[in-house]
Amino acid sequence: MKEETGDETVLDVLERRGLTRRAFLQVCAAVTSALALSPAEAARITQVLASKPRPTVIYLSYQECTGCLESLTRSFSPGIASLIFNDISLAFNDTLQAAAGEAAEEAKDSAMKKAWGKYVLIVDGAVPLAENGAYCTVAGRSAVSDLRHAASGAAAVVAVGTCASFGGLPYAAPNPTGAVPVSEIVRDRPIINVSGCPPIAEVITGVIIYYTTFGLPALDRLHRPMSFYGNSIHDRCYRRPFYDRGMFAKTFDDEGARQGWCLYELGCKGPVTHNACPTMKWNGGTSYPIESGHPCLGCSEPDFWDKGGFYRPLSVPTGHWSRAGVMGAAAAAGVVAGLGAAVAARVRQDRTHKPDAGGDTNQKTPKS
Amino acid sequence: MSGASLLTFARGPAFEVALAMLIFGMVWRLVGILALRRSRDYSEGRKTAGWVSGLRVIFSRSWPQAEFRERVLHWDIVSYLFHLGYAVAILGYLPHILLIRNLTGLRWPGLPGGAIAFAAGIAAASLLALLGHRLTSPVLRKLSNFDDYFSWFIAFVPLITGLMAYYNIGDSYQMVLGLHILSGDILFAWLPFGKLMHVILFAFSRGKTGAVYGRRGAAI
Amino acid sequence: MSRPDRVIPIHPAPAPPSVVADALMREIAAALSRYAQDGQPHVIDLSAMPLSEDDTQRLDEQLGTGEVAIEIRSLLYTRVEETRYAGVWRVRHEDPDGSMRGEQIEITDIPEIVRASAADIGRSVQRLCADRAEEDA
Ligand code: SF4
Repeated sequence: MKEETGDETVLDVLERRGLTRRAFLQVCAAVTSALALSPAEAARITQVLASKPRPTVIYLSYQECTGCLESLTRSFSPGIASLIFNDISLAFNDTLQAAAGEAAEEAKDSAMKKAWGKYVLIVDGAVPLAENGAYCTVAGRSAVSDLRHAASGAAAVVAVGTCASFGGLPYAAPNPTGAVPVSEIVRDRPIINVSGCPPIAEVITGVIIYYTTFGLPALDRLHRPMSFYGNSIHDRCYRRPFYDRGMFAKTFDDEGARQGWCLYELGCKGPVTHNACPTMKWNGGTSYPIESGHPCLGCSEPDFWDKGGFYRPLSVPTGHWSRAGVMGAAAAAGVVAGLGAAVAARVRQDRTHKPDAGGDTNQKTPKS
Repeated sequence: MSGASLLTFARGPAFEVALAMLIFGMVWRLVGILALRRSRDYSEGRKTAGWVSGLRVIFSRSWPQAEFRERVLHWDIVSYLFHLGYAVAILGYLPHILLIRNLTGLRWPGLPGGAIAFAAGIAAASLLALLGHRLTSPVLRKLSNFDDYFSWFIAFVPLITGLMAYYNIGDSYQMVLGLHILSGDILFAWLPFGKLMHVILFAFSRGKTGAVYGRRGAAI
Repeated sequence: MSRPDRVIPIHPAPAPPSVVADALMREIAAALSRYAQDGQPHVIDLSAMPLSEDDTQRLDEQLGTGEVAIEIRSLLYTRVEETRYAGVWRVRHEDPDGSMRGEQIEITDIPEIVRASAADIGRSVQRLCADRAEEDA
């Protein structure tokens, strides 16, 4: 958006702005604590930020609700976001920038061209493929072709939010727009999924800073950074002792709910959801959904909209078919098959003992 | 297949199919047996109400006859441990109770997780011991066919995956939970078609035996 | 459901038992004696630690305050304070709006961030000479 790119480091930028090395050390300290770095990494951060050219970050939004960006920029002090976008990296963002229309497109193109092959592409939102991608277009270009183009010049892609990571809401059945996650389109670049609806702001910034300083973090099977998505909510939940003791809230206002018992019965998806909510919490560390009395929706997992209902316990079948119909048809078929078997048995008996021999008809008796 | 999609499959279509098979199979076998032709009894019954001894035998066969007691009692105890542990784990664990409530509308309070894990551990250990017994006893081995081993396996897998899920063993909890629910589905689906059907038929076969012999005046 | 009063009491997450403060104090003591022996400075980043309120309070009590307090007003606002123990410093960084951006305990004679760096001094030399020249002119 401003300033030229090139091989400037964070230290250079701060110096150019007339700040001292102290400001640089402050940035290092803030990064260290934002990432909760290990002592070894913390010892390296000063050197890395002083020597590594700061990357260009391009942030593109497709089929999304802007909740992720809201999470990033509003829910806590925006200082760290501006730190990333202005000091640590050079950024382009459709939504946040002042320019609009053709000027905006030009800014984006020139930012990409300058750092072609080196920039970090952040994508927020799913990508619709139905009707040749007509459901989401930016400046007359479909999201899918825009993303293909942008990704081909990127060093890595960070998919922010569950829509970009796993398809999210647009992907939910029946998926009328043919939405797909970023990983369906971009296959030849490293992808980091930062899932959540939205992700925790500190996790978004943490991952971006980590990537821009240290490179690819350790990822889980779903390409999410292990440092934030390594544990399930249930593993770290403070209500866990109640789960273990078998004490469950049955409704939202019963005694159990007031006493803070486990929310499993109210549909908590904590056991199968990997995220950092119990430890990092939301809104600057205030609380997280379970702490506020609501079961975990599982928003950082694929297909969380289609798992049979937010308030249906995890152990209960998702049951989209008519239960009565299935059971009735099965029972009816059972009666028919049973009668058929019995008739067949009787016919066989009649055939083997033609005239009534009077003896025991060697009846099949079930064994115990 | 990822753990998440396995879980969704196990909770969704697999469960519905299993439930349909369970109901179909149960009804099929019960109707099929009950609609068989009764053998005619030409002699006069010594006792008229054979059903009384039928009812009695349903229960009296639950413990060994005095003559055999010494030889089989310990295996009967192991078998009891298994059945009780299995029942406690199935009927006492809240996630299972929620499933039953979802199907039938009935509910009852659950037990603490530790108690469930203890019961399931006992059930698993005794099930293993029973398999060992089946494999080492020459008589039992002769009597056993594929059905016995398969039914053992089908009963064992939900137990072991359930324990794994409870203790979070295995690197993907979703995968373990998905396997647990899927193995439960398979148990449901297989139950009426093999020897596991004894959960229902034991009462019919014992009752029938008791009734027939009771009517003939045999002490049983 | 009977509702004796309309107020639903809220039971917040119980604080984990405080063991972190003790562990930290042990680490600080070990690092300080190492520093006394071979001059090896040590930094402990507190933001990576699961400190409960109780922990923070106990840490504050045990470390106390020493003779020196330094304010750094740069990109962030940093407060460097000596503790009751010479060589043990607390360094806190805040945003202009007051929210915490990081906190460290440093075991050293004087924290790195307080020193004027050679590069900054070099630039100051240039600036100072230029300013003098301007004044002279
Ligand atoms: S509230 Fe949810 S995450 Fe917490 S213990 Fe209960 S089931 Fe697990």
